Amino acid sequence: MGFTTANFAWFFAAVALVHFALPQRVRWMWLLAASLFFYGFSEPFFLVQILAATGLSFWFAQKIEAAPDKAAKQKLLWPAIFLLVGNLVLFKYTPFFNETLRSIFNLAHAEYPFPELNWILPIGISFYTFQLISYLVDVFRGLKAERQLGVFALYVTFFPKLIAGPIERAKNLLPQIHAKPGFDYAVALQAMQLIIWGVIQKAVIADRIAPFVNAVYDNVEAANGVQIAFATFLYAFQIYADFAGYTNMALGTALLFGYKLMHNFNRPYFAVSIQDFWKRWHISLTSWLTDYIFTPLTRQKTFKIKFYTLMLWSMLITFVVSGFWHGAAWTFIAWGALHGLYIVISLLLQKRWNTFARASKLIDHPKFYQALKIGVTFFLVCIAYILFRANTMEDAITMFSLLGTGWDALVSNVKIVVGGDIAQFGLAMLGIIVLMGADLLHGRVNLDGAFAKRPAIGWAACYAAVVAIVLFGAFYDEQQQFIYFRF
Amino acid sequence: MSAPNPSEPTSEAPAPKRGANAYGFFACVAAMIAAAALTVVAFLVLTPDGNDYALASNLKHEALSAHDQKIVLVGGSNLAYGIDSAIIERTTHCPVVNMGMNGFLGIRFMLEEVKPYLHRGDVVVIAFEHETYARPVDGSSTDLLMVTKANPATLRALTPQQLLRVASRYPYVAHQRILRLLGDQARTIGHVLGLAKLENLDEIAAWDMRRIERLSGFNANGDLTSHLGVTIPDHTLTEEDDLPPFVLAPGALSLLENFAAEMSARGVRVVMSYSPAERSFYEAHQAAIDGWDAIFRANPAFAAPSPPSQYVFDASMHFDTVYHLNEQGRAIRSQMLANDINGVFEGAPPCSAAAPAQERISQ
Repeated sequence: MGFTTANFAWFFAAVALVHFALPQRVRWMWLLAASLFFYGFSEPFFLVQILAATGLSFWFAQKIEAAPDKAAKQKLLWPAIFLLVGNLVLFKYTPFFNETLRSIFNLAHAEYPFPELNWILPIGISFYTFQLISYLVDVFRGLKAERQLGVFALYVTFFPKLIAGPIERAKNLLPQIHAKPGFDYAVALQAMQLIIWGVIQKAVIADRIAPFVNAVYDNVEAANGVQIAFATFLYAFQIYADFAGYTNMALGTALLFGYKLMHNFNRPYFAVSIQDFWKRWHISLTSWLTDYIFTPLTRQKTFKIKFYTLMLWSMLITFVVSGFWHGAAWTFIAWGALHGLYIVISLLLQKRWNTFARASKLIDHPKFYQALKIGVTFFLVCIAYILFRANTMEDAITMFSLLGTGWDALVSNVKIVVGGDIAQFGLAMLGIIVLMGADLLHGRVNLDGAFAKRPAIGWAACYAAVVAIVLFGAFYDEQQQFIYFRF
Repeated sequence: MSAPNPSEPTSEAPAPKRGANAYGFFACVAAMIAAAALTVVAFLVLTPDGNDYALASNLKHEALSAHDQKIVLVGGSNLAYGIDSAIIERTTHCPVVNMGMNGFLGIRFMLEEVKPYLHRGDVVVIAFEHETYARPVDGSSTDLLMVTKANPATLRALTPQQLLRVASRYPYVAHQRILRLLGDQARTIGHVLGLAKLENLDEIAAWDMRRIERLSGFNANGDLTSHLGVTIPDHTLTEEDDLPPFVLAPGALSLLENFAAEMSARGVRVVMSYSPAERSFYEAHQAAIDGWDAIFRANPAFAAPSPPSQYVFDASMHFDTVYHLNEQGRAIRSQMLANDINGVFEGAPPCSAAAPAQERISQ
């Protein structure tokens, strides 16, 4: 049940209407019931799985908290993490390992005995697994374990953030659930604006850009460097609008019920370095990786190496984990590793670069210097996107090998990507301008404040935005082929 | 601290009812969405369609109202392209109304649309494209939207479920309208600025079906005439890309049987005829098509004078698709159909006399 489907609209309306009719003290129970329905809607088995993971984590957390010392706590923590990671690996990564082994067997001209596994990936398994791990580690580190299983289950399954995050921390969400928030008009208006902006990002911008990107990435053999570069440039905005749109819808949906989820994006394409990019992109994941992978790695005492070297290795490992978390494919692992390498190399070259910037007087032109850094960062992010978006590793390698071609006919190659669909492309470019314009103005123009002072303007903006969604959203035709009537 | 305002109640105001604020908010949201929906509908109604083809529905309904005794041809584009009503009128002495239009309107709509106009002594000839029997009886909501928007009188032919589905297509149609308008503007601006040639537009214009499928392409009987004498260069006959399995769609037979029963009660004769089909297409689907014919023949409510195989034509007699006849094929098919109708009435023309359609409508 995606956020931009009619099913979700009906579900959300029904949940909200009943929610506010109930006494405040029992609303969380209704949200829990709605969240379980939401999750079980597509595949009831997944519901059993998530409930089992939730129940086990709840039990382990109580035991960890009750354990007398650190060693005893650790003895409970590791099996719990092993079970959660095992569940994730089994359902998400087994087909990947199976296919990797098959490739190795094929290379050795040996027969591989196991068939292809076409398993359905449980929705949101990566998100809720990370959330449960963070909860257990936090309890291990001293966080008070949740006493009510129902409240804990809502923390895990709360439907706005269940499928694609943000990866909420217990210390943020659990107290809010216990606080049993009521309705607040100003907050609700803000929530609606967030939802509408999210839908614009997803349906008007991301989905509009998608066909141009797909045309190149789904037909790599026919593409050249210009087309790949242009499609990748477009993809950068598609994925940002898509994910940020989804996150805003999640934040808005949760906010309507009174729950504030953490922000996941902070103008990522205005980052001045790759490190800065990761502080702005998928913030909930980055902070999770920092707290539960990177930091523990830098504190390990098994390998006796210099702290700086340890930190660089930890950084690299953390990004490989990040890539693997994103998807069970070599392309994602390579993508993560490339980002790790970017950061490691930039840290190693930091002093030399600073010397160069001073010598070349770049720092005397701060605006230009900043724009240059933003441009370079965006370029590096785009290069890595080739790995992220490519359908296979072979495709990605082919694309990198083709990157130098086609530049002698730049305009005509761009035109090929546009494909004569000027209106669609015009709307896509307009969407990118709106997307980046909003980021540019973020913090400079206080729309929330203006809408709060004059709600009528806020409502008018929402009305205009809904009309824009209907008129400019990338809605596709129903299953029928007889489109002879011209619109 | 300010002094208490004597006009304010001294006691604590009663707490608002549970959810009252929330429901006020949701009512505002609903009103805002309704206003946005109305804006979209207004946009769709007030801006012109890319062509006026669907307006032909008004012309056909006007023709339906113009006659007491008539032959009504019910079907899709095979009738629009492939019927010369004048030939049928000469042979049967009956005024003919050709309801054929291009688009997937569905069996239910096509039958319901004509029901209010049918009276004792009328003849209804059903000639659906073969695949229509296999496609959902409720048709395409998008195509229905285009017809009902052009001719609101046809809304009464829709079921409540169809109405809901049609309403749900407004965003898509409005969106396509925006794209068309923007596309035209972008091409024009690009051309004016010298940034782009109008090559795509020119290419489309060279063989845009809008030349053929437009209101002025229809005569007063409802026959399409704009394709007569026209040849599409380098064109090969097309059939739909995603033909359904040729299995009778759920509800198709019962809709036809109920319609035939109702018409029989009214004293209206129902004649089952068939779309023309290009030979190889027919041969590919012969088993299913002949099977359906056998079902109709077994039902006394239908008169089925000629089997589908009689309406098979060579490719040279088709215009652009396996169902659309050119001028030559159209004349042959019209005469065959006229003879079939007379045959149902044992060789005697069903009507005593028929005035030319244009005269009748102008009366």
